[in-house]
Amino acid sequence: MKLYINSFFIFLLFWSLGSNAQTVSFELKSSPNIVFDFNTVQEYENGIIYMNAATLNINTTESFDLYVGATTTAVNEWNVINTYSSGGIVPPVSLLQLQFRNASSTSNVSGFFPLQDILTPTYIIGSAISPEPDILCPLQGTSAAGDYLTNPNCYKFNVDLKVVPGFDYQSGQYELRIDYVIIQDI
Amino acid sequence: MKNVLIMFLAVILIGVTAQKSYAQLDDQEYNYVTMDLRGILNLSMTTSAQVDFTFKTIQEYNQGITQFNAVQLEVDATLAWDMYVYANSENWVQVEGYSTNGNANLPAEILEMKSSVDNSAGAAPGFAAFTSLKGLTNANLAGGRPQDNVSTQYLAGGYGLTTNAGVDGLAFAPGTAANNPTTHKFRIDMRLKPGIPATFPNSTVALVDYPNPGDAPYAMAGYYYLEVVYALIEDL
Repeated sequence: MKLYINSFFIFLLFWSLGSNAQTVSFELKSSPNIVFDFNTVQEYENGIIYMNAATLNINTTESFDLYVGATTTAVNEWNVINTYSSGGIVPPVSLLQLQFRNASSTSNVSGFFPLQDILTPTYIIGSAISPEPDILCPLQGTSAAGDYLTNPNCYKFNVDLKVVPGFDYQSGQYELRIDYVIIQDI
Repeated sequence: MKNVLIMFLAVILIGVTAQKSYAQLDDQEYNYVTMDLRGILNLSMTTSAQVDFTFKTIQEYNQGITQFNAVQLEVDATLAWDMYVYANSENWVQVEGYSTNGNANLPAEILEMKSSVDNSAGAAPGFAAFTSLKGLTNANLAGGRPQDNVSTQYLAGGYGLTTNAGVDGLAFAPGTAANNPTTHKFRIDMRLKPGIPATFPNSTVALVDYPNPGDAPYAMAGYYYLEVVYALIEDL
């Protein structure tokens, strides 16, 4: 009898540990490598835009924050692969601009904004302050639990990238990594 | 029974604490972005490539002929740049002579040029006023590239690497002609002043004994041409 009772409590223990499946994640995302190739004066002057450079599908059972930032070797500077000239300066990561779009315009930041280092990221949803009150879909800043299948207008983001170099920067090849981070708001 | 109760409470306690002890959930996604900023230098001549001088009156011989805005050049550059100019030969090439007397070897220097863009900050001689255009040897080029800051005539910048493009005079700054008309658009005036006899008194290379002692000190009537080269290069 005692064995049965103990077995029941062990089952209860595991049930209590495993019955709360929580997720805060990106799903079915597309995030290709992006190449900005500037080989005409017009492109230098007017820039290049990549629409839908990344798609972020969010599936979360918890309140969440979403932020973005750049990871580079030197803070706030593109990594230099090689250079073609001696003049000019290494471009800052802010040269790269991003735009987060969805049908309900839930991003905190509308339009293109300059990328910043991941140490001082830009919050698309929520802020560095946690926890915050939930904002329900379809309001701007939607941070409540939800998923892209039920509400793609709030939980699916298309990300556009833009670079307008101008003429101040050193000719060469550069690279950086954009980090998109979704995190539970607790 | 006491043990059962204690165990029950323990399970409840563990269950409650377990929910509190979850790590903060997160997920990350990345874009790897590369950017290739190519070096671009574009030089455009917006006027006809041929400039004609026809001397058919005494007055034109005496006063000379000036072709204002004979050549217009536009520079679009993503790099610091220099531009220099030289004649692609020592002498004008005589296509046809109209007489038998006079000197058929006219030095390139009889052509005078003046630029609308001020390059006086540069250490190299420029074209702020009408200046004789140097022939190939006098321009001191090796493989088409300048070798010093005295011989080669610069329309923009000068020989040597810039430390502050657009300011130190050794190079002009990157930019487009449309946005920088005072520094990236050149209006070149050209002048030929033969005089009578046609000795071209303004030329820095005199016709006396040119190229050999005893050659006639004045030009032979005839039809001549000269090729002028405008070279846009990255500041090196």
